[in-house]
Amino acid sequence: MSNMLNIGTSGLVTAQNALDTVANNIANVNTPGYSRQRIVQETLPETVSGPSFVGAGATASGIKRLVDSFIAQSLQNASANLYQAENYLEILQQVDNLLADPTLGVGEDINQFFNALHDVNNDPSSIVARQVFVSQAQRLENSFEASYQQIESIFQSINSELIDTVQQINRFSQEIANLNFQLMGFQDVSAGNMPNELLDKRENLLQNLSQLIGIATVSDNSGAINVFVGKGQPLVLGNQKVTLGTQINPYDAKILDVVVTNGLSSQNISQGITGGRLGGVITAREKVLPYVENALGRIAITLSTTFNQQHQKGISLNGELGKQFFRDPNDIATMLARSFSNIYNSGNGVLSVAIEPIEPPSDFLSVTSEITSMIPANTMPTYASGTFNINGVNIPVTKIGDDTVSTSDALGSAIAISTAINSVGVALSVKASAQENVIYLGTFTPGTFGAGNFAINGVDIITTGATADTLVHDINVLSNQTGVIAINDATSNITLIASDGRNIQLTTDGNATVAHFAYFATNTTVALDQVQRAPIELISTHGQTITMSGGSPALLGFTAKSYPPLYTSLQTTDYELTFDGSVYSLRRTVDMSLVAQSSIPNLTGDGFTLQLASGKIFAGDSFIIRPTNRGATDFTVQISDPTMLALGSPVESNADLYNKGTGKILVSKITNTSGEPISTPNVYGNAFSKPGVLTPPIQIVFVSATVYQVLDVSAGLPGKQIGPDQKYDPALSFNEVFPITSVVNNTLPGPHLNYTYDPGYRIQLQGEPQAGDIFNIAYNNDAISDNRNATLLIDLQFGKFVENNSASFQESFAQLVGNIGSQSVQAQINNNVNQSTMLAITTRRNEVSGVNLDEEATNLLQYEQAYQAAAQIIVIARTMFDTLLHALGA
Amino acid sequence: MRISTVDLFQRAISNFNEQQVNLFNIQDKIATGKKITKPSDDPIGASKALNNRSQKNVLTQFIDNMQTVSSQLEYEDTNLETSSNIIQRIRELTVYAGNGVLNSSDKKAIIVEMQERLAELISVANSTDASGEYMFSGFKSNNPPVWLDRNGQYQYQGDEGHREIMVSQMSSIFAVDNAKDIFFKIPSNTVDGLSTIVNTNTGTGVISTPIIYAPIPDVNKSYSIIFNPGATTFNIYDNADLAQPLPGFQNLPYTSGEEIDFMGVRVAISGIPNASDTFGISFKQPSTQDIFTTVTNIIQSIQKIGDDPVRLSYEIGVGLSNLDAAQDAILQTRSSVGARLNALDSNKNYQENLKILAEKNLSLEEDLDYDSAITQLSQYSLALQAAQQSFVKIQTLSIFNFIR
Repeated sequence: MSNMLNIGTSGLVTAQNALDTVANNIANVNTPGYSRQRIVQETLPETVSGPSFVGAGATASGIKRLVDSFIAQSLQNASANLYQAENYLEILQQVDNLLADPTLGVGEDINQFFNALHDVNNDPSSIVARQVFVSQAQRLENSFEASYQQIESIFQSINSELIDTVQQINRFSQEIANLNFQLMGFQDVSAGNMPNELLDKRENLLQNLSQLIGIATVSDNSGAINVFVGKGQPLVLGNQKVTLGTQINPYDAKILDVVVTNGLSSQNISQGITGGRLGGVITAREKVLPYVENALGRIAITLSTTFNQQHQKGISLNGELGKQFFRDPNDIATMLARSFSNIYNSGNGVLSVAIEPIEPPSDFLSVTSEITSMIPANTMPTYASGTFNINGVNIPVTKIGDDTVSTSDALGSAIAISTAINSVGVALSVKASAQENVIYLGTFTPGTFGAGNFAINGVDIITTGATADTLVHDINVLSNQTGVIAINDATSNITLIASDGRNIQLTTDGNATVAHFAYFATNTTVALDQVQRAPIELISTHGQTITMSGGSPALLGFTAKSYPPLYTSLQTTDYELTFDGSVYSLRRTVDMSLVAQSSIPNLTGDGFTLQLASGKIFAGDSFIIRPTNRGATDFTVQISDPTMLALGSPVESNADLYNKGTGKILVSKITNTSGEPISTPNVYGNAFSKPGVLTPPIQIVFVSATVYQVLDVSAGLPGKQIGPDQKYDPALSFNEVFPITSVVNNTLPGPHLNYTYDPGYRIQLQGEPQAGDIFNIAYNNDAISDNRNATLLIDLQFGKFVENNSASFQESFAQLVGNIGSQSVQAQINNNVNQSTMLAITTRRNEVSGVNLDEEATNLLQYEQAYQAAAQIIVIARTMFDTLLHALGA
Repeated sequence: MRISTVDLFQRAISNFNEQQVNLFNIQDKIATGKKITKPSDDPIGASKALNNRSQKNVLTQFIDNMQTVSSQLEYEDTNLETSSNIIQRIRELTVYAGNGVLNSSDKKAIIVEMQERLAELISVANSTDASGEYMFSGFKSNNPPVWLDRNGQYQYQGDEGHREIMVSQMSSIFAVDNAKDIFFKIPSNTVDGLSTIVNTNTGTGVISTPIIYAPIPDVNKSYSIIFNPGATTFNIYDNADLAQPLPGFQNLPYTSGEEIDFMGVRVAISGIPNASDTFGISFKQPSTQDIFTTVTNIIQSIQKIGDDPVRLSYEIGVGLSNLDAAQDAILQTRSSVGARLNALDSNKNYQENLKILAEKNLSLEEDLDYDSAITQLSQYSLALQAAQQSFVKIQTLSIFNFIR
């Protein structure tokens, strides 16, 4: 009977425990991280009664959490992914909204900027229209600046988010370490006698931690859970936590990095962090924000560079040459601000980054070799195969028969080389042709030449030499043999011309000729046998770049480079420059692809060049290069005075009022207003070296309907002729006047190479002029209604200057908007996927660990009944006892 | 499977949330009337819309530009028409002056009117546009194009500039022509000067400044008056043929100071020339003459040489031919203006069509389709209502309701 009482009591206690557990479950139905509990109910050991075992009742041996540790892990991963996606999306959406309104912002302001330019173009002398344009330009500036600042403010908010998040992580990891300490010794998770609340609490902390940063967890056999972040960096080890901190990026002070501080040293772990809020904001900071700043900056830099280039080719209302309309993208401060040196660099080197000129694609490309000075006959260098390549194709060696007209050094003549180039010309997309060969012999002093005194291309010139005219006549009667004609000017200066481009060989005995030609007098009195090769012109047949390479193109008067110079255009990536002690390597940070390598700190990247501005660079030093990053904030209108807008062309051309013919003149292009000759050898001329005048003013005089002279009239009339008489073809739609080639450099003493005269502008003549017609070219003063430069500035609107000449400014902006839009869509989809995953796993977890009130209600009833029944056992036992007592006592 | 009670509520919350976000987005679109409220709504559409918007902008600007050019050209045409009328009136006066026998008061009246007409013509050529700039000065619109200098010569003070206005991406139209083409560079046969060449003569003969009294047969020729032995007669030669004197001009007797007329030239030699003394005469012929000089010359002719009918009729003839050439120049310019206006008209239609197309495309990209949006709106609100009602139903089901 006492057994029965005991059994009843055990049932009662067990049911009570069970009811407590159910009550606890019900109470914690909404507690985050709570796992439902069940009592573990067992029978009590049986007692032996005679031959049989008699049951002794039940007991609650423990209270068990219903958990699945695999689900807990998945849940951590899922929430790390979800929070990464969510935070990434949040930043993208900020950028998305920034670019949202098509009627505000950079895109629309670019449109309005050019519209205002149209209005100025329609009425260039209107100060009001000019003022509106300047204001519109300032609005565009503000728009660029506002976009940039908004992105910058996202950088700032990311920094404060990093600081908060890192503090929260430290708090969580501290708590986890504490719990690890308390839970040491409780290894067996499946056992019923575990500190369930502590376990729940730790699991919940891990779950919360993974919302902040992606973690990997490993349980060790002491019952502790070790937590790792990034690339295996420990965060919690047993009861020890590692403290995270933030620190300024070694390259860029505006960026904070996440570091692990360990005593005095700290280790940057920003790169390795994935998952959680940190993963999201760091990814957005690396992938999205720089792209947006760089893309905006690229538009701003391209616009200001091209606009400045053209603006400087115009003149203002006051007749001054145009200044930089926008702040020069290559002013010193701006160039220095594009490079960021690592604060741990051992050298103190500072780099400066210059943007290359930005030109529209050209449709006509040609290059002409430089003419070399006269050399002794039969010494013209021939070249071996492989020493000269055009567009990567080897030019074959010339062979006999390539030039049948030159009398000396035929294998090295311009004709032979052109033939060799044209034999493989299709592969090169280049056509070569020998140009006119011209030698200036200087002033002729009359005198007789007999046999052997003077020969041109091996033919003796025999003349009384009474006058220059006689000499020229006697040379020209032999021109069917020599291939050379002579011309003389009013002051007996003699020039020899081989128009088919053959070599000109001059043989003199050194005595008779010395006295007669200034040319020979300055050489030597001994006999001479010299030869000169004509220049060779290469024309690209498909408008492609002509690239000269190989061992020694200089042998042919070419320089090993590309024509025009190759400028790949600006990209939206940043760059990293490293130095290993011998080689500088420039890489794109977006994919770490190599851009350039050099042994000197002087490299060309995508549309920019960088060089050492000061200091020294040591092995191991590194730099981050951001060519376009600050472009949008550096974009500044420099001209506030509307009269300074350079809308006119600096050159005025007109036909004389009394011309008889129908000839017309017009300025087709301004190419160089720097006031310096372009930096090409043997090209001279700078029409804009003094304010308010052309240097020199030019008069073009037609001596016949098909021949004209170009005169320098800086010293008044009659002018001084520049170059030889020029041919005019009325059948052409236009005749280009400049540059004038074969201008004789007749500054004595000595033979000089001819040069090309390029004043920095282009003039076209058309129609049918007559002899005596005059055209004047002068500086364009007082032309307040001139809009020729404005028209060219407007053309920039349609020019494809961005993205390797594939997009206009507007299109480039539209690309940026489209790009951010689709990234944002991508991030939205990614976020949705992660949300469903999270939901599915949470459901799975709650399926195992969540409390269901209906279930608990049922359990409540179940254990209540068990409790009532157990109580009945005790009642029955008492009744039995009473019955017995009655029987005994009665 | 089991469902935890928390899940029941969580699921409901996230469902409500999702439906509400959908509702909010569609409501936003209906309120703004835009299909794309942010680029991520339709990235390709957003970037297309930007390009369309920019195209529309540019086209609007081109149409504005055409408006500007049109009004400038029309204004120019009005001025040209006025000039043309003035020249016509001057021509009538010139014909009248050359015709009958005029008394001096008639002449005076003609001269007065001509001078007034000339002044009127100059003021038309120097007319300014709305902003006070000279419209016929080319780029130098601060300078009045026509200016009478101290030597009594009319000078063109502008340049050859033609303002180009862009009317489409590939084409532009010249607004306003300059006075150089219209009024100054007028082809002319006027011989406005003769020069005499006197070689190393031994006598004391001097030649007067020659004048033209009748049409010159060939202005490219030059002539020599050469004295014969004895110096009492002289011959006149065409310089192209010094062997043969001009027919009818052989052995002419010399009288000092007597006027010699030949080939439309009148000249006098005075003094005592010696044998073989030579006086050469050649013509200065500018190929062009401005209309103002032409009119001034006519006025002077009428004023000064009324007593010599042969010379007057020559001068009148020259004047008339120059006036006709000037009229031609204006007509040419007017027809070019008309052609440009026509080109503008057709181009404007074209650009306006393009603009309508761009607007349509823009609207296709950007503008909301209200029918489908409102359908969506009711769909979403229905879904939200359903979710709410079913939740309320489900959450009343609990065993606890039955435990009493």
